[in-house]
Amino acid sequence: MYDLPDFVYFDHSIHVYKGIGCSTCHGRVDLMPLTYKVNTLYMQWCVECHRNPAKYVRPREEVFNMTYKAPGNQMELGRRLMAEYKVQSLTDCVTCHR
Amino acid sequence: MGTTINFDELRRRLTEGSGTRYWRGFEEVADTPEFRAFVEDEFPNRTPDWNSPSSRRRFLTLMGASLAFAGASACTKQPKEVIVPYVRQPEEYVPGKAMFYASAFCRAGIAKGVLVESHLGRPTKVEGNPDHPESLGATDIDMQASVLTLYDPDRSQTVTHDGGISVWGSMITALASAREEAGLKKGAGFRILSGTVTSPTLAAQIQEFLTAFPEARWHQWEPCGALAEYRGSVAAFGAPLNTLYHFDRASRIVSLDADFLYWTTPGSLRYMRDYSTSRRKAAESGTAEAPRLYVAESTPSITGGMAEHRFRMRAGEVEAFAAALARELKMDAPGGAHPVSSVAAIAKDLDSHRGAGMVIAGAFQPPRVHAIAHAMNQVLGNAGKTVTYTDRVEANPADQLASLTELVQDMRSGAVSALLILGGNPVYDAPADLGFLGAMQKVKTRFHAGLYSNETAAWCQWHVPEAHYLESWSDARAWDGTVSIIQPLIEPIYGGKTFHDVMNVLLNHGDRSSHDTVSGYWRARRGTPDFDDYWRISLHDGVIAGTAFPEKTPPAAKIPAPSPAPARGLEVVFRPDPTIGDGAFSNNSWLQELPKQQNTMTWDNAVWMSPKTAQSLQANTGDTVQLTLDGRSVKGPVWVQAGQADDSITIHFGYGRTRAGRVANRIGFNAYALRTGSAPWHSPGVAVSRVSGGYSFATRQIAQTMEERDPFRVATFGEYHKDPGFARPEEKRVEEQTTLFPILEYRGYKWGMSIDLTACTGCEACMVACQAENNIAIVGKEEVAKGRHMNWIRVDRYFSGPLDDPEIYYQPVPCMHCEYAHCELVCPVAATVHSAEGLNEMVYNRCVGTRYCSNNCPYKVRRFNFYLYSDWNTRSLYGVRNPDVTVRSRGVMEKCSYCIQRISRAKIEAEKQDRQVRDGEILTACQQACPAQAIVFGDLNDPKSELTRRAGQKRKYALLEELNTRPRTTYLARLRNPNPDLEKG
Repeated sequence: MYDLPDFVYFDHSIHVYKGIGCSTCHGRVDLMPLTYKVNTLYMQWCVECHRNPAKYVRPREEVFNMTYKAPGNQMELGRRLMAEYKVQSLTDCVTCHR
Repeated sequence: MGTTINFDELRRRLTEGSGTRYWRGFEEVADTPEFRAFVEDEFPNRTPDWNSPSSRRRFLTLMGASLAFAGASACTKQPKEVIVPYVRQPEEYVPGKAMFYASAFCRAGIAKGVLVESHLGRPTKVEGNPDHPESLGATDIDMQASVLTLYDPDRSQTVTHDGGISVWGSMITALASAREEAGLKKGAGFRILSGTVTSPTLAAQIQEFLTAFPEARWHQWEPCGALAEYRGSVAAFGAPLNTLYHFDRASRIVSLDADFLYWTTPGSLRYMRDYSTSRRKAAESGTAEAPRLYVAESTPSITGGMAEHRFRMRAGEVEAFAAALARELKMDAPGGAHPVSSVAAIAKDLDSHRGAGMVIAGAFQPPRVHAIAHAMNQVLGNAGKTVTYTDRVEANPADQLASLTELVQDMRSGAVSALLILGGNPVYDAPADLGFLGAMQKVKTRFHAGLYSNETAAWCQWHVPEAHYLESWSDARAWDGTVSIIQPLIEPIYGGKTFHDVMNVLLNHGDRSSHDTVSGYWRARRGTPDFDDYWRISLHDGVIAGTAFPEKTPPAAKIPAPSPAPARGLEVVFRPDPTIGDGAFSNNSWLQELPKQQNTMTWDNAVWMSPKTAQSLQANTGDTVQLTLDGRSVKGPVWVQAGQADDSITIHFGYGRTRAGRVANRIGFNAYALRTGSAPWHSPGVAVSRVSGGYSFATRQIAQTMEERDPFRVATFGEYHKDPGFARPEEKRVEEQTTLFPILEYRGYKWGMSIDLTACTGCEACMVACQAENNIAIVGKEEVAKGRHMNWIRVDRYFSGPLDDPEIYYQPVPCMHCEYAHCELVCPVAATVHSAEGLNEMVYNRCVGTRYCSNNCPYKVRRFNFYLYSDWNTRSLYGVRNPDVTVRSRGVMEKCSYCIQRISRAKIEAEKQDRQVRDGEILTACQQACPAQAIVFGDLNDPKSELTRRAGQKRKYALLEELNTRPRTTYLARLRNPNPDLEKG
């Protein structure tokens, strides 16, 4: 489980709905005898995806798939899924800070 | 307010028109140095912080506390937090998602339906229940603030016996033995004293006890209850009846000192909704006529502020005015002198609106005024239409003063051996001439159950903490009789017991829970096998269907003989405090820091007097005076109040507490100490003598001055129809695209807000709602005096017109969310920036506290954390915080966010359903609370939204539009409907 700073607000449900997989942020939890943080959780890391979600969006049915690997044509797939799922690139401060 | 003010000079300035048209306080008209300081520097008096030893000490204390909290390291590090997942996830719980439960808040026994927001079992916010007939979704300041009382660390936390810590089991034994002792004499000597009880279950329990012990007695006392209304109804009809007013059907309203919009009036939320809605509809339709309100009163009230015609008079003269109005309507009602010259015109107006008028008598006026009002409503054909009658909602209606007097006499004569006090604080608030405390000390065994170990608990051998309503099972009736079930949101934090628990001990049902008591009562009443469904539906809806009382037709009202004309000279008027009320919730810091509507005073009560009275007494604001009445006296500081009746001095209850808690102890003076049973609301013959000077108040009336010439815009309906665009005069108008900046288009949502000043009454419910929703800290009296209060939405109060009798206007001011926001241009660290939806964002984690933004904000809506105002050390206060909003730290700027957390929540839900956010899906906290529905938030890009409709009206204007900030928050000008026949009386 990740503990974000208290001025950061994160909603899982919308990320799941828009096709962001568990393992994208949490890593291979299924292979962790003891869970650990696989990403920095720095704002830069969050914003990298928020600026360009196409790099990480996957089909909804693959969201919970721990072994999912991004295909070679991820950018093309990502752009298609972004249109299909109406994924927005939200970089307003109040998206996460309030 | 150090400068002495010359009232004659001010009167001259105002009448000659050389001063401002709208003024906030005498300081502004006089243009005193204090006022200039606030104009020139948003936060004046900054330097003394470093120079005065007392402030430096306080600063170091505060610093010390925050450093200790942050640990030994130099920079603030996030404290270590433990996240514990559920072992067994409760059904329907999603962490991060709030649940709402219906319940009811009671004030003086009368229920107001609420929906309580709960985050993982922790109630954080109270909203109104849209299905409740009074609330209709709205809340008042008291309901909003009640959630803070739940977590108040000063609440009573343990059973006490003779001042020492004890346990509930011991108190049970003591109660049982008191009962057994009284039982030997059929209960003689056992007395119960409660406040007003509307709970059918509690009343049934007490009745059961009285049946078993027929010589025991039940007394009731509510210091600011419906005594006058009760007596007035008995005088007029020979029976106690409950009066309901239907403002949606009334076009002519005469208030005889009735502050029906004020939160202590039962039904006030509904009254405000109906009254404001008909005003708003009239302004919107352009054809319907708005209600016209006449108010006679001594002390300025928010109802008086809404009046088309407000008549200042001593409270003792209202009866004569009422009688004169009745005589004008050919009724037999003798009466004395009064100062209104235009009674004939008012009577004519009422007479020409038969069946659509209303005369409403104030809760603080003597019974005869109520009787005259009842009679006038019958004569005018209003009874049965705009005014209806039902049985009283109290379970056991009684003349509470007589009830309390009887108890005191019996206690004094030694006839009482055991006294059980269920709530209340009679040692503090009983009439001074009764000598309640002296009599009570003659009672052998005294029990007290209450939220606080207060002045009364201190004199009782036994005290048990009462469970807060958010911790309790109970039931109660609304002002129209509708029953709500009160259900708990949380286990009692301090092991509190409900009154049902206490009564169960007396009834030998010690093992029966409150829940079983309440549900058992309704199961027996329902008597059908579908009870479980009925119970669940009633709990879910927050009201039990079909429990409102049926209408009754009373006999013809009789007007009693007039009371002797009040003596000339000064009178003293007693009123519940505008924000604190009768003192039951004095220890609530949100309410303490809420500015009193009439003068924006915080953390104090005062001796209010008119400028003329002050001149004749040679007193000024800040002088301490001694008031003496019937040999009793209190000392308090003077506040010179515009709009106060001459020769009438008003003092408010709720202050001068000694055992309220850390917040309210030893602030203000106790007005109950002057109040007698024979004159509970006003009395002539008060003597005033000046003791000293130099008392300083913490008010907000001249802080945050916009220096705008016409912040408030008002016209009569006639003027509006002639010139619909009056609110946007040519010189203030800015064409759509006048800018050197690139023009931004908002293609998605375009959030905005509209505030209708025709509907707004200035009740300030929005301010407390915002405080609760957005974790807004309180700062204390000293800091308020420096202009450092933290409320994101403030309610500005303007006077207009003559010094002694001005019109009073209220204007809520949140952040304007300017499209060209001046604050954003000057922030060196981009901590305040614009969102794609046009929100002016405040990013706390970027803010370094330069305060440039606030300096540059023309509306003065930004608030700065000069110290660590948020209480990080009191654990119990963690519970009240909204987890969706950051708790701000020292050195950070903050301001209204349009409740961004609510916008986000709605947007996420809409996205997950692949749709747009629906109109009305997002309610900001202020909008949701507003009983007048004056505030509406929405999407300006949605042509069908309520906001677009409202903001499309011709009376729309923006504050300081000429600065071309293009604010998203706009106003709708106030419209009035004065009587053309009437010169101001």
